[in-house]
Amino acid sequence: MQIQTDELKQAANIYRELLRGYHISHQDHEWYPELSNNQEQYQKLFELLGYQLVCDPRGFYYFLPEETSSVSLNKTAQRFAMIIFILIELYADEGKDSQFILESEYIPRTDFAKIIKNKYQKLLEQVEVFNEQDIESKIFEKLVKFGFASDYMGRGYQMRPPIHRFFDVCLDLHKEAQTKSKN
Amino acid sequence: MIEPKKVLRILLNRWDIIAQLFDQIADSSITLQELHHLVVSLIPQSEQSDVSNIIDSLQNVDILVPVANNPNRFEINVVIMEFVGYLKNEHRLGLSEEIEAYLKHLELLANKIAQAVQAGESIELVKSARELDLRMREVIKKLQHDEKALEGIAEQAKMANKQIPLRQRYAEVISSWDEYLEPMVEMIDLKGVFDRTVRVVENQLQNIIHKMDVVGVLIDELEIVRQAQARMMAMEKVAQHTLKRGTEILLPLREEVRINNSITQGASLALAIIRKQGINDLKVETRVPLLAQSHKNLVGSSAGIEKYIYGLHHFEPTLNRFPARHSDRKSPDKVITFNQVKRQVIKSLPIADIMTWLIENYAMVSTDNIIEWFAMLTRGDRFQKQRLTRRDYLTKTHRISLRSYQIFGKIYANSNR
Repeated sequence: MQIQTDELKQAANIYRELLRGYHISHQDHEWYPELSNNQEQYQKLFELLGYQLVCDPRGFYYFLPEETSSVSLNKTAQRFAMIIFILIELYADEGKDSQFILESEYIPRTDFAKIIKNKYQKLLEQVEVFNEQDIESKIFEKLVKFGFASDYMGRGYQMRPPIHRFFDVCLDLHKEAQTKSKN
Repeated sequence: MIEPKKVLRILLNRWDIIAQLFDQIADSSITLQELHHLVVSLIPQSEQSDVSNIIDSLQNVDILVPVANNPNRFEINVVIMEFVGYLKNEHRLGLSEEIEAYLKHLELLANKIAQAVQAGESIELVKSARELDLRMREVIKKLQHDEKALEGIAEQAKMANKQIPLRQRYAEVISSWDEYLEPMVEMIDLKGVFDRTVRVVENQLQNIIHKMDVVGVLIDELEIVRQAQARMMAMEKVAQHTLKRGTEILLPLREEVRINNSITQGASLALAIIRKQGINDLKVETRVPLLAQSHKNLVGSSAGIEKYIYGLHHFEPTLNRFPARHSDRKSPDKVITFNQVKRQVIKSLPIADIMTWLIENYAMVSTDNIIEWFAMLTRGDRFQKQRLTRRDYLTKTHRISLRSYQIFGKIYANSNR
């Protein structure tokens, strides 16, 4: 397959973003259309550079790190996972459709207090998050940095499609538990 | 006996009220007082006597009938409700058992036709064949009605308030799947009751037609039996279509509920594991690996160190034969000194672009050397030169961006340098 470089006008920017762990989704108007229109070309190009571009059918792209290279991002991934699990449970306990809120609504900053005052305080301490400020700076700002969330008019944060990577963890755990109980 | 035209006239004249009643009390009943308020709200300028007349007219033609054991409450007559539902294109999902009951009846009627042919009873044959055809039309109507009802259920579920949990929003979807569609799949599936009955009746009708056609028994009634046979095929087709469509409508929503439930339960499981065993036990980093640029190729990162040590551990030297004294091999490239380069430059003067000249003439030399020679050649006033605009130069291994020089000639006064 020949790579048509003329069509990859944003290649440098896309490469730079993906390389820093950013997840490109449809809200990224500058890059997403070009990536999705030239998906195969980009996959090939990045493969030549030694990176595996994951094209998730739910509408986002990211570089899959080599098996051992993510070790130092352990804490970040743990914090992200922790907040997603907490929000799913918190909203479900409030009788809301948590998946819908995480996919289509936004998480108001006022909910940070709810999270920290709720039964989740001890859990958050495991990832060195002790107060509302930590939730913002250590988690949500980082979620934005990695393309998992974006600021919602200064009122809170709206999750983006890559959040499905954490939903997949929930689905896997549920499946594992079901398999275990069957055995 | 109520005059049909009278019922139709009331339905026509009071359609707004009847449609409103259908929307509000299809599943319940209404008191006279509530009915009064409803009529007033729909016709605000009406006199007290007009309102009473309207209510009376609805009762007189049995559009509204008293609830059993409670004469103070009224409900819509079931027949009217079905008709209004049909006109409003609002269908209620029936029961899969109803279809099963119809199927048993179809088998019975096919037997009756066979017996009538056997006995040569024309009247009985026509009566049973017509009834068989009618029953099949009813099955077709019911299946089409159920398909519309399923569409309505799915639509309602999608439009419901999204703040409430999906399981509640889709409750009717789930029950329709469990109580209607799944039994229907079993019924219509190969070797199911529907399939078996259709085959039995189809064979029976085929035998009857053969007998009538070949032997000539009751030949005048052949057409009506053929019509029943054609209807049977149409019914089978509609049933399969309804099933396919119903599955198409409900399956994605059911799947959505399943995934939604699994995600919620999975999140709770994850939190339980974190509470009991700590977050490290969940191995999030392997489940959701994140890439960070700075960690990819640096030996400083733990991954890099691992790779480096792995590389060292598995290092295997490659053997290179030492060149023999009189070998035909070319001797390794001689070391090129700056003075040699300078002499070549002087020989080649004038040079349009010294950097390009260096790269072209010393292609096998390392980029470091080329840059060093470029710096030495252009430093000071060794040559008459002019600065060029910045551009990129490609060596064998690097891309360099710099402002090169055009060299016109040597300045002999400074040649000692």
